[in-house]
Amino acid sequence: MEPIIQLTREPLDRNALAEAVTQASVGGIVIFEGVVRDNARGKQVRYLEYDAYIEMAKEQIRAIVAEAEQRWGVEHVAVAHRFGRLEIGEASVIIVVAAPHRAEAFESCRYIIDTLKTTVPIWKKEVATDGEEWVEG
Amino acid sequence: MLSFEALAAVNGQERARSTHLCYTFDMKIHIRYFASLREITELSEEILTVQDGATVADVRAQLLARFPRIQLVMERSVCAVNRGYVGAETVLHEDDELVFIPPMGGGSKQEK
Repeated sequence: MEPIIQLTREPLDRNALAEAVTQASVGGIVIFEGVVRDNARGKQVRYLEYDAYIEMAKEQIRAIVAEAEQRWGVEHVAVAHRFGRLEIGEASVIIVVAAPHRAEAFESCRYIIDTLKTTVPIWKKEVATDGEEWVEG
Repeated sequence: MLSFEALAAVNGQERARSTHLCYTFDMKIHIRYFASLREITELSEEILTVQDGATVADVRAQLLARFPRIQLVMERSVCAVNRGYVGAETVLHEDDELVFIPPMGGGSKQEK
C-alpha cells in the first residue's frame, strides 16, 4: 500500500488515518500523536506556529517511510503533519503504523518520528508569554 | 573634447564591459525562505541572478552581505537544492530552487 502523507493547515484526524491503514492482514496498530504542550524550558507557551517546506518535507517523509518499510517490512503507514498556528492540546503530528505484529509496528513508528524530527524541513516557533522564538532541536 | 586620459578610461571601461559579456553568463535561480530566515529577510521567495558556475557558498556569501542579521542562523543552517540536501560546494544551475534550512526543532527527544 502506498503510504498516506499529509501536510495540512487543517486539524488532523487520528481516526481517519488509523482507518485508512487498517487491513485484514494487520495484527497491531501503533499511533504516535504529538500534541502542543503549554510549557517549554520553563516558559509558558501560548501557542505554536509551524512553518514547512512542503514539497521537500513530503519527499523526505516518503523516503523515511520507504526506509521503515524496507527495515521492518511494514506496509501500512500514514504520516500527517500540521502547519500554521496550533493551539495548546492540538495535534501537530500523527504517525500510524499498522503491521502484522506489534514489535515492528512499535519500532518503525519510533524510527519514523525520530527521523522526521531531524531531517524533515518543518520548523516550530514557540510563542510564549514572554516572547517568541524558533526552536532548535 | 575628451582628454587622452579620459578616452583611455572610457576604452578601459568598454573593454571591461565586453570582457564581462564575452566570458561570463548570468543565470537565474529561485530562492525560498522559511522560518527565522523568512522573518529576518521579510521575504518568502525571490529570483536571484547569479554568475554562471556560482556555488551554494557564493549565494550564501551574497545573502550575508545583504542581510547581516541572518548570520547566526546561517551558521547553523544546511542547504537544499531542488528539494535534496547538498553541500555548500554544490554548483548551481539555471532555474535551481535553493533553500537554506535553519535548524529544525519540531520537538526534542532530549527534552525531559
